Amino acid sequence: MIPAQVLGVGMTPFARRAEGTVEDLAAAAGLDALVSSGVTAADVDAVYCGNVYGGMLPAQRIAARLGLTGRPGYNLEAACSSSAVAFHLAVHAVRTGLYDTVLVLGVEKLSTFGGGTLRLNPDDLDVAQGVTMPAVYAMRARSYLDATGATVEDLAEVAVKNRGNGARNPRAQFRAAPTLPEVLESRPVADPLTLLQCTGSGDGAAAAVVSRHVGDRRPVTVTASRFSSGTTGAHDLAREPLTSRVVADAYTDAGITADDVDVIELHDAFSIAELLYYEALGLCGFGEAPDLLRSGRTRRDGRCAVNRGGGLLARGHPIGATGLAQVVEVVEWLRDPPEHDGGRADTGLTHCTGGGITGYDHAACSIHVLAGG
Amino acid sequence: MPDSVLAPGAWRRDGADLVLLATRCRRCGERTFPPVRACPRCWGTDLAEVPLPRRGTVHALTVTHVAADGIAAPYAVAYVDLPDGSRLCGRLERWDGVRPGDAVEAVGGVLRDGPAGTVTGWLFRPVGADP
Repeated sequence: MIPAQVLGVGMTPFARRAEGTVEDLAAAAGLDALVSSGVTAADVDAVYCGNVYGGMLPAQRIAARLGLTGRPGYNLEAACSSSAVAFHLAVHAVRTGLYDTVLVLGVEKLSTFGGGTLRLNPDDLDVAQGVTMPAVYAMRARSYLDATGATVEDLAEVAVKNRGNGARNPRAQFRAAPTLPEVLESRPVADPLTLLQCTGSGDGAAAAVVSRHVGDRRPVTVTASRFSSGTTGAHDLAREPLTSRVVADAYTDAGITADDVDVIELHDAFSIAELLYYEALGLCGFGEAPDLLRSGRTRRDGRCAVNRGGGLLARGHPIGATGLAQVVEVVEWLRDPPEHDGGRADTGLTHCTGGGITGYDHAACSIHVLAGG
Repeated sequence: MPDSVLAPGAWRRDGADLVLLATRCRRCGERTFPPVRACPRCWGTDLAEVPLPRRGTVHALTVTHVAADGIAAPYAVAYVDLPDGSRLCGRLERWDGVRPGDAVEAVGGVLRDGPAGTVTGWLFRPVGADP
């Protein structure tokens, strides 16, 4: 297998309403990734694009802006996991020798819809009933609290941490650092989740260049790239079996355990999600996530920093861009970890799910492990 | 958008009652709601349409405070466990004082009613609650 390297990354600021079109946003992020990679249009064998609501053929529309026509352009949709899936397929194309160098894009303009909760498929049985993403996570939260004895304060602490991180990320959509009471007293969305425990609607794009070649900068190698759909049926809402299953394969591929991971960007669309995923990723045992959070280990200066960029809660969640935004955050950290933030990290993990349809625990889960050289 | 009926193949009227329909695999016994063409457990295609138990218990619920198209806020949704092992997600007709473990039954009703038209289907009514 040919090792796949991330040569360069790019990302627009995430914003409630960004100037420009889907093409404008993605081309800006894509150009940054290409320039920072030192590759030219002639080097790019294919374009992969993750997007949900932007209409037909976004890869081709964006390629036209970047001089990348006349080669394959793949369009991938997996809800919130769309550009993570694009990255996954790009990595596998490089690993198998299909392409030498590819550009991966993720982009979304949710401001087109004027805000509110994510527009799900209206023909879906659960959605027709009124089930929304906040409602699904609220029921997971309620089940987790009942099963473990965790409290609503434990949930809110996730938002305090990640929104505090977002306040230090110039690309984050939400830059306020609320206190615990402010999180708890923000308006209710779906009990027990309050507004500041939910990600927001917004616009943005992210990009990465994946290649078999090693660039001039500190190399970042993709050591695991795993993706799976979930399963239908009755699941334990207090646990996250899909993430557990996918990460087990990813750790095996990368030859690591959970203890080896220095930095994680995980799918905290809602506060409860981060607690469920601590446990599913093996950072701690069932019911121990609130203690792990309180220990400080997952703070930005902790031994395993989780959502340093603010996560979905604070960076924002233009859904087609999120999977790659996580990759951008981790690659930048592996390349250039600020010394005052805990020293050199060499192993990062991104975790991105997609859901919102009847019967599944989650519809999709993508996990990548990235190793700094 | 005209008025619509949610998943007409997944339920039927039985007099005044509403019956939700699943498929049962004749090979492995797996029940699946809504009805499917192949068993997700064993890939069997010899499937029988069977009625689901009308009554179940609330597994988890949430009151959501954000209105949706044709649904006024607040409203409540729940996961409901049926005695045959099925778990369905759906709206609660009423939720005052309803807790996990409480009994509910599937009833017919209007799920959405707005400028885009109505959506008719099923929802869950707490058993023993005042109508």
